[in-house]
Amino acid sequence: MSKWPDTRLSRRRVLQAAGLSALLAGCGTGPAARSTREIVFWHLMTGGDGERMNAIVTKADADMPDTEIKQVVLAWGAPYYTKLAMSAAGGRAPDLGIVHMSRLAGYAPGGLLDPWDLDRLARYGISESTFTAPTWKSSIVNGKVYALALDSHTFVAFFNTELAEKGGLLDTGGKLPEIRSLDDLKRLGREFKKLTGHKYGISYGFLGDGAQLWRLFWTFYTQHGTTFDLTGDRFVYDADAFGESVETMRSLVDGEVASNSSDYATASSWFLGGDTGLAFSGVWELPQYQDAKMPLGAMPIPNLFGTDVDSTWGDSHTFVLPHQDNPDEQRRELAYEAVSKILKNSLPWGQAGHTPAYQPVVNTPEFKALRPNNDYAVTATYLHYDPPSSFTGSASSFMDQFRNSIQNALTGQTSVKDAVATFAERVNVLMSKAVQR
Amino acid sequence: MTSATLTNKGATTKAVTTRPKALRSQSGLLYVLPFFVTFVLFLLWPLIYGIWMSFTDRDLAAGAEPELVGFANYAEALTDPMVWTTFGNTVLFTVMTTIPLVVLALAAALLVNMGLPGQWVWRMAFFVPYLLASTVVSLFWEWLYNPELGLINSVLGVFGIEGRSWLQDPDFAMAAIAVATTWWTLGFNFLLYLAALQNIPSTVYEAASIDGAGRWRQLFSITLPLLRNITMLILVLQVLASLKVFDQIFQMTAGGPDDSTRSILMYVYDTGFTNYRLGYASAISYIFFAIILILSLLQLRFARRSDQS
Repeated sequence: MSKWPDTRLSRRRVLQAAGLSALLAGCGTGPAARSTREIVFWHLMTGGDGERMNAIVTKADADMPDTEIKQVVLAWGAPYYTKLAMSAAGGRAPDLGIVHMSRLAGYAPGGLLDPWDLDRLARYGISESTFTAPTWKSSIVNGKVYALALDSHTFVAFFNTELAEKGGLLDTGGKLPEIRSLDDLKRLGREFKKLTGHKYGISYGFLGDGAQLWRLFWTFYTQHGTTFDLTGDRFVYDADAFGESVETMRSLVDGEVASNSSDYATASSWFLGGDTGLAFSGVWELPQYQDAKMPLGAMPIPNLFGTDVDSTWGDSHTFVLPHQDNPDEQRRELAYEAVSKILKNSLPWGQAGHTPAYQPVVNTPEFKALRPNNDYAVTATYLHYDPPSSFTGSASSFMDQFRNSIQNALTGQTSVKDAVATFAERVNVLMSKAVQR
Repeated sequence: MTSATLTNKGATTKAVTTRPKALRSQSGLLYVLPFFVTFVLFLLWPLIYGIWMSFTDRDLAAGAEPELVGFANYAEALTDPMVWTTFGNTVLFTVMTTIPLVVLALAAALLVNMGLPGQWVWRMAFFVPYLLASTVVSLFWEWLYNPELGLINSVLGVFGIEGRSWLQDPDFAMAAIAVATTWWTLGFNFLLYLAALQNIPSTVYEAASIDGAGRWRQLFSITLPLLRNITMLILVLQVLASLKVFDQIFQMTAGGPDDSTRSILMYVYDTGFTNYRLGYASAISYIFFAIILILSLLQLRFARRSDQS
């Protein structure tokens, strides 16, 4: 009997000790616990992109003895940017991160990123000349380089070569006939429709998807040789070009040549299944189509407006240095080295559809031999990034507002004119409510 | 055997009661500590920190220290039309979901309680959706609602009715989300009702049938009045849950089309996390908090008064 109280007491002691040690252990997982030869790299590549990124990082890692590049993979979208911002604001930033070029303007001016040092980059063979002009230009904020692009990914037209051949649409070089107007495009769509007997000839998924709507719009709009200005007090845009671009999109999704109610997945599955012959989508869709062994061709989106301006929507995954108050010089050096190794080994990344940003890779015979990648690689030289601002870019409010106002014009619920006016008003609100820095 | 157990129990009780009172309350505190620490860290502190933030221009993506701006954020929020649009949407969603989630849950519970054979199957069928993650529910319903490939429009097509883009039509999107939400969360209220129904003593019904009351009479004069308390509870829980709506809208429509499904919490999220204005976002959430608080107090008062009458 006398044993009972003792046992109870000791059990309590054990629990107390366990609880205390758990608390202490919980406090120990700060940056201090990292080894100096480990660099932490945050990115947002999942699925096929994730596998390829892992392969490239593993290769770079193998080239760097005694160093471990630790990947932290987070889901794409607004939450990724939140986490990156919080980690930098909280002083526990990773050594290396990835952000979309289009989000750079929201990050760099706030002091959340550290600039890249050009002299140090030069030692690793990275300089202005190793990138295309639009990419390098967009990497600079307030005179400093904050982003090193890994790739450029643009909006292009994929087509089914087998179907096109069956319909006698291809020329001797395996290319589709030149498209110079919306009528040309719709005629081609109707040809494909005849060949497959499907409801539509062209796939363009946009329903509920601000990003997809924006990508085609921005392609059409910038083909007018104009842009958006979000730097002043009010939103400045070219109303005629805006209206014509949306009108063209609306006319394309007429419910005959292309669906006026298909979302991304639906449109993609039609093209994949050979129901439609042509698809407007991002180059990142390439591996999915190739894995399905479909006969695939691709080309830049043609200019439909007779302006002779080559342009398309595009974005880049870029390497950034999240701000650290007292960066460890050794680790920072390793970050430079790791990025240079990843850029130089970015050919497999190109196989995923993205065009490598590092020009020496693009100029290799191996990349030139990649089809249809090389057929649209030229878009990297003339792509247009989103207009820079704290509220624009990948997964931004701007994208939401674009969908909110413009989609109704495509589905026929409002007129193009009203949709454009609504959007302009919303952008003015976004500008007036934008963060002040 | 029995007596031995009894003695043992008595001894234990005695041992506990004779321990000094101070020691007992000390160990009591120890038990509360884990919760208390979590409560302070994740509820109390953020609450206080949030109030402070709402008076500053705190920027999510800036290293610089935030500056105090007084009531500027509150003034801006009260005149921001989007605050009121999204608040209106939230109230609309709350009405659209609370009514069916009370009425249908009660109906389902009454049906199951009728003593149908295989009661567990019905119970499970109504309750299982509640166990799904919001992501699963969203994907599931997005496919059902898909205008080109979805089941709903296919079935409507069989009857010659042309479907719509349910989630992308400003007139239908909120209702579509409310339907999905009702299907998803009905099970919880259903279970509460079922438990309450099974708690009503059968003797009451026996007495009623001896007095010659039919089934409908019993329903309206016994069952429903005896469910009054649980209905009040369900109503309060449901209104609070619906006002907090975020997940399924974020995933199914992201607030579109034309902001017709954007809830106030989504606006707070967009303002704070996507557009970096944490200070302003905090001010909006405290205004929302105040409105909920006032509504809850009114509801409580109303409930008390009808109790007395």
